[in-house]
Amino acid sequence: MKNKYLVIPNGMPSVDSKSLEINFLFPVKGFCVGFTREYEIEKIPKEAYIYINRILDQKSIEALKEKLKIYSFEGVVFEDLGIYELIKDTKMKKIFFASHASCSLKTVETYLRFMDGVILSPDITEEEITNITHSLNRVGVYLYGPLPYMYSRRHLVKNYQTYYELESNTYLTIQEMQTKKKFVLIENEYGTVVFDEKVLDVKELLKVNAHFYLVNFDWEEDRDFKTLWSEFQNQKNTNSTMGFTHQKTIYRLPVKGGDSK
Amino acid sequence: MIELLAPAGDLEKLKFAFHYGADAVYIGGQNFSLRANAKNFSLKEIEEATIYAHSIGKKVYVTVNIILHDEDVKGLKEYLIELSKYHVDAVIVSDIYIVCLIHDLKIPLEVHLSTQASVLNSYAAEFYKSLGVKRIVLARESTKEDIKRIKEETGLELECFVHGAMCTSISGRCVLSNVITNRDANRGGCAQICRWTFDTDGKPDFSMTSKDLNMITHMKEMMDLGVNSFKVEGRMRGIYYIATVILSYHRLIQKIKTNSLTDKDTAYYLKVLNRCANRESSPQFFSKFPTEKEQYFLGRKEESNQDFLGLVTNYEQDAGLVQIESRNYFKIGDVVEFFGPNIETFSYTIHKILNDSKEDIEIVNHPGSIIYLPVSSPLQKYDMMRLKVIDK
Repeated sequence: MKNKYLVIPNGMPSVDSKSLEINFLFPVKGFCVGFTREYEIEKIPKEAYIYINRILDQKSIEALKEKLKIYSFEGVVFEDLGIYELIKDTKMKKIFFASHASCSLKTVETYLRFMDGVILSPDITEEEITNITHSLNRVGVYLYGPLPYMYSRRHLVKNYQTYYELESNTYLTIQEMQTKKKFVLIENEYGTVVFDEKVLDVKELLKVNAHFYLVNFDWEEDRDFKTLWSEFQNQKNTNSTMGFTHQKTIYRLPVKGGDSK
Repeated sequence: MIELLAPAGDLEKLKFAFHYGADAVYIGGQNFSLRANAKNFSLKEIEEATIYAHSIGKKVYVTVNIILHDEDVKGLKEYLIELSKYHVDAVIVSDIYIVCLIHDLKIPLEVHLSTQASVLNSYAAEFYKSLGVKRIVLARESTKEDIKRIKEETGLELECFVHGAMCTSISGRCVLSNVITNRDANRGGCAQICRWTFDTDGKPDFSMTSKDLNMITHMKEMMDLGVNSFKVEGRMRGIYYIATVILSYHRLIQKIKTNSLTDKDTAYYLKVLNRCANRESSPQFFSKFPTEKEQYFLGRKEESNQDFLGLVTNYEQDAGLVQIESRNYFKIGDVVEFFGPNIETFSYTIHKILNDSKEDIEIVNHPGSIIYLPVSSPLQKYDMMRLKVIDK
């Protein structure tokens, strides 16, 4: 990757990415879920990266195959491994970003046998991120942006609104009753993604000196990209979360007098 | 090859699953498997389970389907080698490192790709095939078109869930449990947050809970599409559920194979399964996109019933007495039915009950009691007695 940052912009930017030493990454309309802005594939500059985060059914991956016969880009960031199979013989850079499946050094190392880069799942701790980025090259870290917790193929928002005959919307905020934790749901025809209501902001991880970083401005307002980029570099979002970087999870309930692992 | 694949949370459930018609079971070890808080199988029990299964011509698959963190890698290689020594028939794997480790080290284990890997298209299936995967457990979101094309394009063995609970997410694409309870869903700690209700700002409570999966009405179509293995969910379920569900699907498959399945049969098995489950169910994604009708919004209507009345533990041929270990309340006058893998289900009105000393009693109200009923039709150990609520 030519630059250290892969950036999903807050709208089609008028600025040249080269002048900012970043690579733009555009979520492709029809092949993404959980975005407020998606981009028609024919309008995305060929020097940019494209982002496809849907788990694709057969019909969709074949539709994508047809598109990629016509359009080519610097690289593709994707979650469905079928896309690797689709583009493995092209010159496009292959960056794998599974929301929850790239969590160990060994796993990432294995993906790197096939990919040009792997972005770590944002489910792991700073210690784990440090270990992996210090041990492997071509590893990216999700530095800033909406933090996804769940991806459903169902229309969870639409179904809820239909059931209760509520006004139709593709966006919903919910709150878990005991912890009072809030989530944002964003939906399109391909499914629903549940996010933390706060954006992830872990600029502290710049110190691990990862090969590259992913920055996602999808939730930012429509405004001048250059200003936004400058502000991002100089200040922390005050309504942000550090995700799991300082929250180690367990998976087996503690046994009295025993090991909890 | 057509296979009915049952869940088995422990050795007892495994034996019931086989007895009631499963061709194979999937089990979890005490490490590297989802359902981390279930009883699960020790290595010794896995060995015992495999020896038992092979002795009756059946198969055992072991789930090794967690998404690894660095701390989980230790002991993995040795564990896989150990499983191969026990000749388990396959491991069900999700993390690509485990897939490649088995391939690279040439560990003699057949690899089935877990549904947690979310395969919905032939290209993804082809990728895993190139890594030595023999079978794909398709994502539960697969449509009939996806199944057909994946089979046609790859020729891989395909396994599909046909019955049981659904994740609201595409399986493996959720960490809500991690954030709410700190329990890692992709390492077996899922707290099923998708079954909770949530506040919304001044609107009715939000729910995303899915109803269960039930493919009984589409089994022939799935067999025609080339699905090889029909998987029932529920390693935490009890023996009555396993027996009822497995026997229903087993009989249905036999009828399809012999071209003798009628609409009346399908309707009957659907009723039996709906009664056995405590949640509503539907075919979900197979032939149409699920709507609000495939979800719960007012909490789960879990109608727990006490249909399972007793387990046959012996049959005294000469006396025509069946010995039963009771599970729920029943009394003289109740209409019940007996079912089992080697008998036609039949009705029976209780007119006499004997206690363990063979003295007359009127009611049975202590689970675990040993009682006797005079039944002229021969029964076998592990047949079951349930309340009769459905007419065939």
